[in-house]
Amino acid sequence: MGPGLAISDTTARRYELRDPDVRLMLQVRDDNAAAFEELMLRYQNRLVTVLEHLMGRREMAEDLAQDVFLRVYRARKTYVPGAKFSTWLFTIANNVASNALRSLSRRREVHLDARDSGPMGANPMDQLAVAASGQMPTRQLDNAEMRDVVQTAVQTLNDRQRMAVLLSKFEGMNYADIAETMDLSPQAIKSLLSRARVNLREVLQPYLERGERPT
Amino acid sequence: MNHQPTPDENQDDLQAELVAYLDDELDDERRHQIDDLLAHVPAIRDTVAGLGRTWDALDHLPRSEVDESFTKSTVEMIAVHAASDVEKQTQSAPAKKRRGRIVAALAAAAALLIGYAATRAYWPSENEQLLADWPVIENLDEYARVPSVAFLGQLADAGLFVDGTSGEDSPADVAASSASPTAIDRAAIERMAPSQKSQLLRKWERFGRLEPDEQARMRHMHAAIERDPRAGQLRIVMRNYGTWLEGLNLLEQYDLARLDADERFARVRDLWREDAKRFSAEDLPLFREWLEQFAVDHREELVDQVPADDKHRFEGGRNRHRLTWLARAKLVFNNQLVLIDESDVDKLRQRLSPDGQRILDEAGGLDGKRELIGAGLKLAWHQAFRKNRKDRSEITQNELTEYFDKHLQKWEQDDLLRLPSNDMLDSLRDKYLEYLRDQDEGSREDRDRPERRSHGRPGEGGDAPEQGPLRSPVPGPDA
Repeated sequence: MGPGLAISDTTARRYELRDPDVRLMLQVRDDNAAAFEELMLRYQNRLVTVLEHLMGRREMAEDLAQDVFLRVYRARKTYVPGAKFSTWLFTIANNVASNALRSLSRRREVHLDARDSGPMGANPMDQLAVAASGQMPTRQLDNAEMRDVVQTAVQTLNDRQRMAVLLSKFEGMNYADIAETMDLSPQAIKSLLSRARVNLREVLQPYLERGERPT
Repeated sequence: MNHQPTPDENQDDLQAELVAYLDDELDDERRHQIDDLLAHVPAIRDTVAGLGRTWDALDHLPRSEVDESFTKSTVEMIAVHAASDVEKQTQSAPAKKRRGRIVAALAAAAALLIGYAATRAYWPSENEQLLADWPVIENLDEYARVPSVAFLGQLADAGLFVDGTSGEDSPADVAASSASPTAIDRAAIERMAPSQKSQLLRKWERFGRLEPDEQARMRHMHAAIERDPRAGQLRIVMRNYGTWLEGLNLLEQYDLARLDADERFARVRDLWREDAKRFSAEDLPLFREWLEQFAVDHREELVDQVPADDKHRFEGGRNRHRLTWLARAKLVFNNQLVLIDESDVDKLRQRLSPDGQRILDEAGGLDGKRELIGAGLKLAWHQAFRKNRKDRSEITQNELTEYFDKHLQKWEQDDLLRLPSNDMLDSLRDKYLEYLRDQDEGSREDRDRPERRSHGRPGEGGDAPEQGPLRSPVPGPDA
């Protein structure tokens, strides 16, 4: 047995011991259908949540989530725990979503806009039409309105920024896990999230402080 | 020449550090540096506060919730794709496959256009083959689901999916439902309704798309069933197995289909046993009541299996708990379900709710019912002991060891030691809890019986004697 395999075995064993979802996935590998259903039940809402905010469409998010689970099932026989199960699952989700976004982009024949203009994106402020809504810093924020504003703000991020933000916010992933999920270095994730957070602040701060809604 | 960072680059780096600070991604040294900056530079404090506020605002993003139909459709979609994968993998030469599909497609198109009878006139040789394959084509799904005649035999031998009692064919076995599906001719096909013809055609197409080896396997299986002395019973098993299979979710069906015959039989038997979980919480205690009756009815057979020195412990009328435990040990631990006869099944059935009776009735023959009852007994005791889960966790190793050493007979110890270690520990804990429960019951009854000694828990310094009442399998009020 070579040293690489030995390390791999140790890593696999470590994740198996630490992560109950890894243990479930190993049961799936052994053709335990109930374990697969259990994993689905545990992750379907989380997966659809991330995909819906990423794609902006519920129906597409559900279709993609089904595709992700299909890929998980098809990959079960070669599954070796090399990461937390959630990291592995969202790596697949990231690949599926990236493909979908690319083909969506081609179908629409859209020209590059801020969201597709690379990691830096464009100045989000350029995309906003600021509406003077009373200039009331102490204005009571309506929850539904707040939700709409935040969704709009998230949609101003480019695809990669948005994925990193969603994994951080909804999945509570650290930089290392996000990096593994998105096949980037932790340093790249640090920069990506930094730019995303600055962009979000520029979009949201006028609303949070002065009630100026982005449109 | 070294690159000198621009003010914007410096600004970007600082922003990244501040965000990493908020995300708790900095090492101690860097975090302290940011703490210092925050303490002394109001502008940085404002920046961090702004970043934090906007990040918190993202909590307003809605979280999606899918409904049950999503789960169901996902499982079904995966099962269909997975089955399709298998089909693709098992198909051989592409040319052959294409040719088969072309033939099938031509047959379908022609039949749709001019009707099945007309097709027959143009392609007489195919029709001859159709007539020859009719018994297989008519039951295509059933033949496809069953790997071999031996598998059907295993199911029949285990009493699974058998209507009525197991064993050789009875007249009922060869009734219409199990009759050999061979009686077909051209006239019968011509008399078919259009919908029947259409259904037949679809099956024929499916059969035509199968690999020649698979077609041959089905033909041979059909011929082997026809030759088997238990042909009627095997056909019933095949039919019932198919019906049962349809009740599984598609993923479970797919998983079963991937197993070889022996593995599949073992898995089917396991799933069958799991059917006991369908018994309601109200029905399960009735299994325990039934076991008490069973123990009394089978006292002789049970006590016969106990070493001669211990037989006296089961004599007389004051040993019901002990006898019940013995019956449970034999049925559940030693898997002697063969002790259960039809009369016992009837007695249990009479106790059960209508739903419980239906589950028992659906278990097929006597052997299938025995398996189900065995599983039901296990669940019944698990249900009873679930209430004591806290107690179970509080049992110490010393208590168990002392109970094992001092309060179990040699043959009881041997029975336990033959079990896998986890099962042995579980069973030992169960027995010990039962022993404690019986002791409690005994203590209550002993209030009026001053001659009886009271005993502490093993390992707690009680006065448990090495001889006498506590050296019984289940010391209780009768001991």
